[in-house]
Amino acid sequence: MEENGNKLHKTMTSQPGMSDVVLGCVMPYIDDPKDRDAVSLVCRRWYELDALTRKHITIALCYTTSPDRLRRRFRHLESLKLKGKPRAAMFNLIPEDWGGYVTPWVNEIAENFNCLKAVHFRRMIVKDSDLEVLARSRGKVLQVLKLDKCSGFSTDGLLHVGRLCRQLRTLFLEESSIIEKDGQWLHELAVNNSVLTNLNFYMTDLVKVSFEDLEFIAQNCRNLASVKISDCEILDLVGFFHAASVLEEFCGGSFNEQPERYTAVSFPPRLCRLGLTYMGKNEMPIVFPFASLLKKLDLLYALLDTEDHCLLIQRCPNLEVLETRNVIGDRGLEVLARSCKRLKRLRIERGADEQEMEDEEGVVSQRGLMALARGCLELEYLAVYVSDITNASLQYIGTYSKNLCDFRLVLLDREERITDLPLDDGVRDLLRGCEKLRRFALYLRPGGLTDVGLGYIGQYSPKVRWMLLGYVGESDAGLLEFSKGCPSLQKLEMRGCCFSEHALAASVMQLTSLRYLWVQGYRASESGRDLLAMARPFWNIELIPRIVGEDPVVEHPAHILAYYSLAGPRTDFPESRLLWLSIRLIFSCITYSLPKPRSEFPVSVIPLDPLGAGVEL
Amino acid sequence: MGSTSTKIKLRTSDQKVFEVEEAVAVQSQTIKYFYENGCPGSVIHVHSVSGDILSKILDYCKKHVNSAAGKEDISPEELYEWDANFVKVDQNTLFDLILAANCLKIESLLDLTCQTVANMIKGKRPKEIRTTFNIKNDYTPEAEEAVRRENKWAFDMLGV
Repeated sequence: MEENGNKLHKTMTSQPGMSDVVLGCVMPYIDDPKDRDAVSLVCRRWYELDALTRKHITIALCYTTSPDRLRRRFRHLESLKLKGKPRAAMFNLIPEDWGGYVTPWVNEIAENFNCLKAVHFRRMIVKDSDLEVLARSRGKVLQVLKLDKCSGFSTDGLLHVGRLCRQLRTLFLEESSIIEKDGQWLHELAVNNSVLTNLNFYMTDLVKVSFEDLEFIAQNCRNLASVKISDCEILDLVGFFHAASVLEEFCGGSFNEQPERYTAVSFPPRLCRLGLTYMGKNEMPIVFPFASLLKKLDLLYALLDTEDHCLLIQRCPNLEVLETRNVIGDRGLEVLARSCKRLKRLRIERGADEQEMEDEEGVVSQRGLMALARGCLELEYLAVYVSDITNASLQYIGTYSKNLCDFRLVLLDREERITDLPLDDGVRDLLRGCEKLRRFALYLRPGGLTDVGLGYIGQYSPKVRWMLLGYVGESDAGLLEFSKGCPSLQKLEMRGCCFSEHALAASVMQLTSLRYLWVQGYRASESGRDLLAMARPFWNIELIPRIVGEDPVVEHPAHILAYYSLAGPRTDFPESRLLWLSIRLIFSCITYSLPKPRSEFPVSVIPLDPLGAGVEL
Repeated sequence: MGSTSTKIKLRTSDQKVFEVEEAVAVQSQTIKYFYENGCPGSVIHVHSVSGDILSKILDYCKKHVNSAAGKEDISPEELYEWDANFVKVDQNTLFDLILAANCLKIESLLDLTCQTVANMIKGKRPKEIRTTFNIKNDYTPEAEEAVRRENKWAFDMLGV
């Protein structure tokens, strides 16, 4: 097989050893992005073969590169995930027009990415014209379209998708802000598509869709496995449930009639992931007949009290994923720990503030966490808002939750007295015990974690790649100690900390893997001058100074966003609203944004609680 | 299809001729195609495969055909073990097996051999991969650094 000196067929076998054909055969077997990175660095030939065969790329911030660069390297991409605004946008902390426009990406996709079948945009601004361009250019082959927490488009844009994307398997619009003109888009989808498997417009304002179209989709698309919708009377969906014979997941709906009318509703036989919006105590029994099959339960928007949680959860022995609010209470967590031994993911969000929604037990504290840690040994993901906490409960998690990869905890500000602060030792033992942790969020209150505790976080989180820290530490010394560790930390977000610009900059320079930083609430200097200490090539720094809104008077503390970019400073700052000063330094670019006079500043203003309330985990 | 005793004749790149049981030979989709669409009894030329490699490949096909047909009493674990030993060969033989499996369209063998090479790559740094396969780094330091940067900052946030 040695092709000695066969120069004519250089592309086939250019050297002894591994030929291009062999490498081309092997390449599909290497799918871990980390291995792909290594492959691309072996030599130029391997770089090219990796580029030709890479199927999926995630770009965690759209400004780190450009559509042009993506095209030059990965022209044969089949799947692209692109993220825009910082995570803080999910809590209205980032102006709507901050940036994150898909337009340049969509144009590049339309012209050059001929193999692209799956597109996922997250927290980006999508225009109707973008959807039209995408549908016209890629419509015939597009199988997955996810507009995830996006904004800027209307049902007119979706109409093009419904009409032209006939191969679409997945249409995902969850939590996007969509202007609803009519429900025609769903009708188009129903008429034109027979291959849909996942349809999701959960947590959107799309209410003009007709249940007949949903039923039609269920009849036409025989592989329909997941449907998550907005508010829609459950009694109108009886025909839909009947037709959707292989449906495994359903979320949304609403209950507007007398509870006894719902007893006749029957759900598809394979349904195992469920989230019934507005489901109350009286409707809950409709779930009981198939509760033992449930693997995922979304109770975030159900109207259940602690006792209801207990009654339902104990009937779900196969539950793997539970999302709910802290109304579940410690008692609900104890039932969960006893009943659901397969639980892998648990998310407990902060409940509504209306007191009538909460019953007295509806708080989660150390008691619930300790029961959970002991009972659910397979837990991989835990995000929880607690009202009280102790070091011992965190130590329990470290002792028992050996599979935990993602831990997020917010200490609410409801209780003035917390049983056991600071949490230095508990946090240390949790981090030491949970060796698989990749993501870690801790949102406390002043006094919740000392500089020593902050140092522990640095020291004992060798694999953590993402961190969100709020109201931790006491001084710059703590941050500097923290930044001596965290060798894998790529993305750091901080809120409400006491650190100076100087310390922030110095710690950024010490965190060797860091490529993204977002900070809101720090000791800002008048000009941001001290941040220059972190100036370096390719490191973009954007500042949004303190903003004081009116009516109600609230204050948005200054933000820093900094990230590595190969694309240079971005050019799509919201000039209409903000006066941005771009100062180019020799080694870096810093962009300052200054608000116009207050009265003209129309940033969406929401009351910010100085403590835990304002955090999105 | 056909009786079990039917034999197919294969000639390799180095002019060696193999007489192979039909059931074994048609594990190769390529051979199957030529066999079904060519003249009965004619010799099928396997230009791109040497006798040594074809002999190995036929061993593999025989083992799998016999085990699937129940002619040989072998558990799935034992077959797995046999496969693992089968690919314990030097790199060039392994590459030749991949080329041949690819050309002859023997999916399970292609899978086995490619996975073996992929496992030699996975988890390694670029430098270690170069050493493993004796590859020369032809990047300039600047170009290598540029790729490294792009990998780290733009295209590899590992889901963060």
